[in-house]
Amino acid sequence: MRILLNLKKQILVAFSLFFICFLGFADELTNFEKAELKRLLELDLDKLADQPVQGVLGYDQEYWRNPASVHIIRPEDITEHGFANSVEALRAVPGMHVSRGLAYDNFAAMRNFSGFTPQKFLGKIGGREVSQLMLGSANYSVDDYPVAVIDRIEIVRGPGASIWGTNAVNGVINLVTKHSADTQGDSVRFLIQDNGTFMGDYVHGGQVSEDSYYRFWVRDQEYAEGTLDSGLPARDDGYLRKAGFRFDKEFNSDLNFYIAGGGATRRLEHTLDLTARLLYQNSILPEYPEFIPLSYIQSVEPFLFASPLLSDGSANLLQGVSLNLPSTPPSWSSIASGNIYFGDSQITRFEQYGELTNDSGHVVARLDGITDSDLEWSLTGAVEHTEISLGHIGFDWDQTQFDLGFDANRPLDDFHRLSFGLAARRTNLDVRSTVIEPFAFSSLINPNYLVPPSNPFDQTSSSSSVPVLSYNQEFTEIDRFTAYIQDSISLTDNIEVSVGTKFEENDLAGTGFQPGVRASWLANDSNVLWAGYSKAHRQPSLRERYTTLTPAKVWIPNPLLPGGGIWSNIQFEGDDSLDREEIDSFELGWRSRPSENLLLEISSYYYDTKNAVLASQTSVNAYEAKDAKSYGGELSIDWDVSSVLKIRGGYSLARGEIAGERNYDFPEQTASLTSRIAYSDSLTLIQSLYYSDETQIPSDYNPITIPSHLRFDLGLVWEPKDGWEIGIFGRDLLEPHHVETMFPGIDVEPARVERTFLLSIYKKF
Amino acid sequence: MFRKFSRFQNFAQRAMQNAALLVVAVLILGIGSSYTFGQSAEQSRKLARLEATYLTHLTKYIQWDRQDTETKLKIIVHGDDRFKFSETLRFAMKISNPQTSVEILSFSNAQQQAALNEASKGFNFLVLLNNSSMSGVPLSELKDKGVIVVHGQKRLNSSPAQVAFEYNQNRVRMLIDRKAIGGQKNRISSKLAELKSAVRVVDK
Repeated sequence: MRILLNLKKQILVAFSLFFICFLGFADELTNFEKAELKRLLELDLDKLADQPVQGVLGYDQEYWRNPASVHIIRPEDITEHGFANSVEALRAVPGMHVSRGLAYDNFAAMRNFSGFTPQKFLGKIGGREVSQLMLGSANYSVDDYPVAVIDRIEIVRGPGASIWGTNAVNGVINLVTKHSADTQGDSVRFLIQDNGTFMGDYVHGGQVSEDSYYRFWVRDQEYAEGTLDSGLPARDDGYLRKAGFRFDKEFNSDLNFYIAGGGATRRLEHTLDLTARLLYQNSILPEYPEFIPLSYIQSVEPFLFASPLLSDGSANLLQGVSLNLPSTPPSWSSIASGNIYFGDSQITRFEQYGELTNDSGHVVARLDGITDSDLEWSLTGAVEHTEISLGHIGFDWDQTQFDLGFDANRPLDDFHRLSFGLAARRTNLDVRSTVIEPFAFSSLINPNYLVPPSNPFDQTSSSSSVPVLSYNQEFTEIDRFTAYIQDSISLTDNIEVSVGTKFEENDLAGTGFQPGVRASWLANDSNVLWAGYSKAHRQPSLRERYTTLTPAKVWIPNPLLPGGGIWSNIQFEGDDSLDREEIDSFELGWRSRPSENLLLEISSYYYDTKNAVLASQTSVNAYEAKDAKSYGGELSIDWDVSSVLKIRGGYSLARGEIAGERNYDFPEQTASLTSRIAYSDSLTLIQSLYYSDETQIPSDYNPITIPSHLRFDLGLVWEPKDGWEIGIFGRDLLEPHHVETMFPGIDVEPARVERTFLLSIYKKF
Repeated sequence: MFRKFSRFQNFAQRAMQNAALLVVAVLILGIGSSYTFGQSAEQSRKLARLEATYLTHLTKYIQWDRQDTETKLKIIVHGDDRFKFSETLRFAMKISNPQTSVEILSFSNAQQQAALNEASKGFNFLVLLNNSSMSGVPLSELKDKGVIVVHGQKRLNSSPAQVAFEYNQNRVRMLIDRKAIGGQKNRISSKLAELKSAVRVVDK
């Protein structure tokens, strides 16, 4: 009883303290205003003219009354932590889960049900939407920019479809690059890791005339070889080379133009574990599973095919039968260096290596202006071509995208600002499959391996060209048209509301509206409460809809057939009836500035998703639509304790249920804490801790549990003179290596994330 | 065929409902706000923040006649300050020039004479807010005492002010009288003229 009373008292005190926070307005400048003034004072004088007076809710992410959960990453957040790519900096963003599965790529997921390969947030880099429709994700390493040209990265958690459009389901990542006028001169950055991984980029900017500027840049990234979790070499060393440019011209104070472009080429190797992709259908050994890796069967062949009796004393029907196995490449044995335990025995492991290539180029141009009636408008066009080859599974595709978009906003009066826009996108695909060497033998063409054809002797029922992945060639042109309208309303001095909707006609997501309502209430000088409802759509990826996966072949023994049996395929077809995912999201947030140097934010969400495309219960390689629910929230703190010490921290909780069952493919809890200690004007020590809960990665092949892990990074940054930064960093200092993620399904073994030491030299503009 | 038709019907119905709801919501919120309140305080405060930031930058581009401006700045603000401009400017100056003592004297329209008396002793900036009633001969007499800042090109042209803020196309820019650049009194640096996106030099 006493405990109950104490609890009641504590709750009462907590509520009282909470509501005391919302009492009264002061005549003095608020802490939010002071913080905003500090930000404005850091801008160059000519940048002040870029600051809109009447804002569009949802555009200005740094506006403290923005009714959304937002995190901003600055270039210094990347360089002061020794991150090579901007995606690595997302690790410190509450609600985001960044993991490394291979030596060269980091994967980013946001909030819950992010899935793995298909991300469920919208990625915008340098003014264009980056997404490979095939896998429904972006490759942030390939699309990344040198840090010297990055202005900021905005991370908007939660659906924002009414402005951003399709795929802004769990949020938006918007990387904004600088105007060429802000990158004049030369900038160089070198990073070298103790394992040999190297990255260097150079940016040069100049002026063409009084009102036109340019820059170009080059980057070379050489990857050292990583190690698979088992200790096998990952053979993933290679390179990524990139170049880009941007030209800006101001026609007059009301009309600006820029054109930017870039190209990247990446060469790496990638592995596919083939140990258990040639299977034996077991119907006679009751103590063994239905499918047994063929190499194991071969090791017991003397018993299985020679003994007249089986272990239970029954007659062995296979006695004397000779398996007509396809020849295994002789190189297999030369690359086999590990063992996999199977029951009491062990089998030799086989790895298939293949080249993973990525060549891409893009051009984006934008014309923007403002009329005398305060109509701010922009016209953006982009063309992007990408060629990707997954050599280890024999699957290539070329994707060409054409984008055209018009965005505008104008005041209706002092209280309303209307934003609206139209956009069209055409995607052309050329998809090719080849059969990788170990699978290049005749097998039945039948999606259901358990049903043999009526006449197995019919030549047309077999083929020697059944690839691991094949694409339905009917879907190679995909169009999308969108239109949106949103009104930002200053309802009172303290309440701002945005109401809007997006209309979309999309070959992959159908036709529909995605409305959203958001509101923020300035409760008092230092507290803002906000809430939002949004509906958002996500288009299924082409992989989910139109590809057929054949991850394994199975030998079905049949003494009546010549050769003693027949090869069949285990196949998982894409589901072209998969509808778009529809998410109804409800969000609530609290932003508090107890002082100008301290910002606290809490955001919470509840997502109700219909038709969430997820791995089926029967196989990770098959997809099906299920209803899912998720909820959670993020807590973040940004505190300039003094001129010497700054602290930034975050915690997130994300829970999800799929068809009523808890799901763990996203860590339920993540946390980060970074402190920055300025020992002097030129010497800074940065310490970071990142925690991630356990995750479960489903796979038909080898499902694994990624244990919870704590990462500790330490960095020392020295600025010998203005504009120069030399940094020494230690990463993952608590353990020699750990595992963070894995490709589910066809790709198997994750690479180790190893303790590394890194030297960085950076000359700013 | 019937199924397809029925799906289209459902879609159309939902689309109409969504659109109608949106229009109703916008109208209700819009009408409510327009009738209930006179102006957007948030925009006015943002204008104040931007103007205060401009002025803070501007101090570094002026060669002052007053001898003690390295260590002390005197700024007079005149007009009914409903949006905390003086307070905003005080904070911006404090952050930007911690070594400099900044004296900001704020006078309402009702205190015009007091403001004139104070200004006649000399100042660095005399900022006339948008609603300031100060004009005419008294203002002309203050021309050489410091830099006078007003709002809008019209008022810049019709007054002895050297600097004005212009709010146009949802942006704030600074207007500078060409004669004040490289002039005899309180010389404004010609470098400002190069910042074309933020500064416009005008001939009065």
